[in-house]
Amino acid sequence: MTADLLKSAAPPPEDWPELVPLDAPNLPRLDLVHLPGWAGDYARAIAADTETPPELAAGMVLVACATAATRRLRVMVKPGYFEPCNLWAVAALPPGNRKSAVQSAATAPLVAWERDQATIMESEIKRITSERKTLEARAKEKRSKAAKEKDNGKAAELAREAADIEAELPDIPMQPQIWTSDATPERLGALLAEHGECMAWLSSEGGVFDLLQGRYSNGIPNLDLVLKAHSGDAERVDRGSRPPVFLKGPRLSIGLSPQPDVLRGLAAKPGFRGRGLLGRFLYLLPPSPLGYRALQSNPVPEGVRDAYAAGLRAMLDWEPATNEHGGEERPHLLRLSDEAYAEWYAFAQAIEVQMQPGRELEHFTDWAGKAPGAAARLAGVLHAIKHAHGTPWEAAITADTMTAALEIMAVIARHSLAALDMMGADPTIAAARLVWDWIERGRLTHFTVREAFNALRGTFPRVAMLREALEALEERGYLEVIEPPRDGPGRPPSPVVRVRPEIARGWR
Amino acid sequence: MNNAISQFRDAMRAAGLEPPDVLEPGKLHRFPGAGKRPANRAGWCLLFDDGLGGCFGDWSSGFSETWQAKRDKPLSRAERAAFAHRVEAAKKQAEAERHTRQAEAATRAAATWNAATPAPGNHPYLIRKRIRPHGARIHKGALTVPVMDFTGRLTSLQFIAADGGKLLLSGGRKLGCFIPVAGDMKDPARVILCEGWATGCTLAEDEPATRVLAAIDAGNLEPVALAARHRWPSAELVIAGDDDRLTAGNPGATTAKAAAIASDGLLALPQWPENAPEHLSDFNDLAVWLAQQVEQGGGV
Repeated sequence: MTADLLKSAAPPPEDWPELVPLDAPNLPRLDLVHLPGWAGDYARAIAADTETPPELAAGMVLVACATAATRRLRVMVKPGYFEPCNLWAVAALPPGNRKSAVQSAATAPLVAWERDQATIMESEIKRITSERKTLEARAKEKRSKAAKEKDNGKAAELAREAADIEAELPDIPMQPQIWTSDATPERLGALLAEHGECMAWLSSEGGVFDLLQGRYSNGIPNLDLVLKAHSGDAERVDRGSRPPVFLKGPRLSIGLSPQPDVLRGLAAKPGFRGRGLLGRFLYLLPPSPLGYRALQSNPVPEGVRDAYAAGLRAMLDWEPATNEHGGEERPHLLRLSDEAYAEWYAFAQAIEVQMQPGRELEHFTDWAGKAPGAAARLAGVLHAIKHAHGTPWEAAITADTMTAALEIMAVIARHSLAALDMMGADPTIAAARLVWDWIERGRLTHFTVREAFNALRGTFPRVAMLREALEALEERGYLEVIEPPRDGPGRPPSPVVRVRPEIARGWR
Repeated sequence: MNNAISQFRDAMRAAGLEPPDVLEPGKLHRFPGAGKRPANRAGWCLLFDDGLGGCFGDWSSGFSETWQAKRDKPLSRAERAAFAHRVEAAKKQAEAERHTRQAEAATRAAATWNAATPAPGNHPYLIRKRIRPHGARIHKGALTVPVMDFTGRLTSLQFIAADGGKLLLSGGRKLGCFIPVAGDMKDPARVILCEGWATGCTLAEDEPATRVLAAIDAGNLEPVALAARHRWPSAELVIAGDDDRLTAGNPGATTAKAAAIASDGLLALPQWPENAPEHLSDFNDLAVWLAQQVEQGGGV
């Protein structure tokens, strides 16, 4: 009979720091209390119904509201500085997280509005279509007569009459469209031109990035239009067989919920980082609840659903402002109260300082430089939600609303930095990931810095660069670098790197 | 020169080594390593024949250091290079001597081992430790166990007297070597590593199917654990440490933990029943005491 003397055998206790994953560090959660009224209620209800992270519902609801708000509103942060209300949001989650269901729920009122508008316009479209066909037939008849007419004078007269008719052909109104899920950048330009220069691009996948990278244009990225449609800058759009149009202030909202894998490596895509595409998004990286769900549905209460639909519909039905001559439509201006401006200014200053070399945002200036503008936009959308059933342009954005926007931005900032890290934006983290990939491939529990340098010399031409990556891994608890004691003169032995024991055990 | 010899001695004493009584410049001397018996020859030193420098070390711990006589002006670049060259040559000489000595010891170990006879189960040490012979042999009345390296070469022998006194074959290689207690060297799923052979026998009898190695002493646990991990990367390695509760710093538990951490192994220390005496320190002590309690009809 054995005494089981070694029954206490266990991994030796060690003081390792908490493991901070390279891809998704412990990020703060978004509190939906900052999302006002019917929008917040609905986001909470969708999250509960679908058992998805609140960040996903918040992101999609905010983009849906921004889509409606930006048609009629823009924020005047201070005289001469304006921000439109469109937002670009990405909420990344692994597959199986019901992202499509959340997106569908958030955009349902947009779909219903499009359908209703189509019904309202149907008879008008039919009437004008019929009228156009008649005129086209008349023009054709005149042209035919002109062709047969032997008298040159009469033929020229008939041809002129045909041309006059064609010049007066009425345009058939398009069925209104406010969002799309799959359009090339070229098609997107046409959609913006045909639908009041406002459009949302919503997708529960990451195919949008493929389209932007030029999936249908021989791999040549076509970013100009989308970049300008973020800031509302004028752009010329070619529409194939139809005459080109000039967009005076296109405003595109984007809501994506791709898989986290889609984000990896995006920074290396031509133009994505350098031209500021990735810096325009507000990122959310909520933890996946898969494996921890109760799998019991709590359907969205009808009242909450109706209130959301009514709120969004009210925003879509706002009348535009017109210029003093009563002609050209333009967005209403939202002004900040003095207190709201002070809050915003303090935020902008804090961001500014963090962009200095050596500070936290040093490697994220493309995102950070746009963060104050994004905060103003967000405040505009929250203000619009609060005043959806009224006239938001008649009230100033309050300090409370700005505070809520900044609270949301504070969380988004942490998530966005992590997302940009994931994409390879921070060179140190990108380097750390390369080193970790090498360690993981070889399942190396122990190795020397010299061995790592020899293996990774192509990527790290100097040991100091490799050490920096190892330090980043050490800070996150992946490994420890053990410096050997100096033993007399001469070159000391290379430091030994030891991988976190539970990771090493997992490999075995 | 006398002044140089005196300074050289002081430097060695400061490093924890007791230099030999006679120090002849230009000659490699061997003497007991730090904390070793008088017959031990693990310590070494060489004072350069001009008395301006020297080096010394301890093979048992792998420690080595250089020494320079105090000078009025710093060494020139050429002098520094010459000094480094002499140190390198001295270390090579010491290393060559060590290899020769170890090779000679291995030859003597093989001859002694081949001439030794299987140990009887009634050897007083085995009886007192309540263990079986596990392949041990008898040489001049002492239990004799082999010390091997991970290539399977016999490097030394350990002799255990009836009263428990232990001796290693003079000059034999120990660092990173072990006493094979039980089990097969070929791809074991689980390997137990402890300090002493008797503890290893107890653990082998507790887990008959497991590969058990004894590292001879606490200081050798980590080198053997690392070599074992290198040899069997996917095996479960258990470091069964001594629990030197009455010794300051508990060297047994401390070195066992360090070995477990370094080799990614598991750590096991004896789990003492409440009434177990405090002088017990290893798994053999525990097993013997438990057996005595059963014989005496008492519980634990």
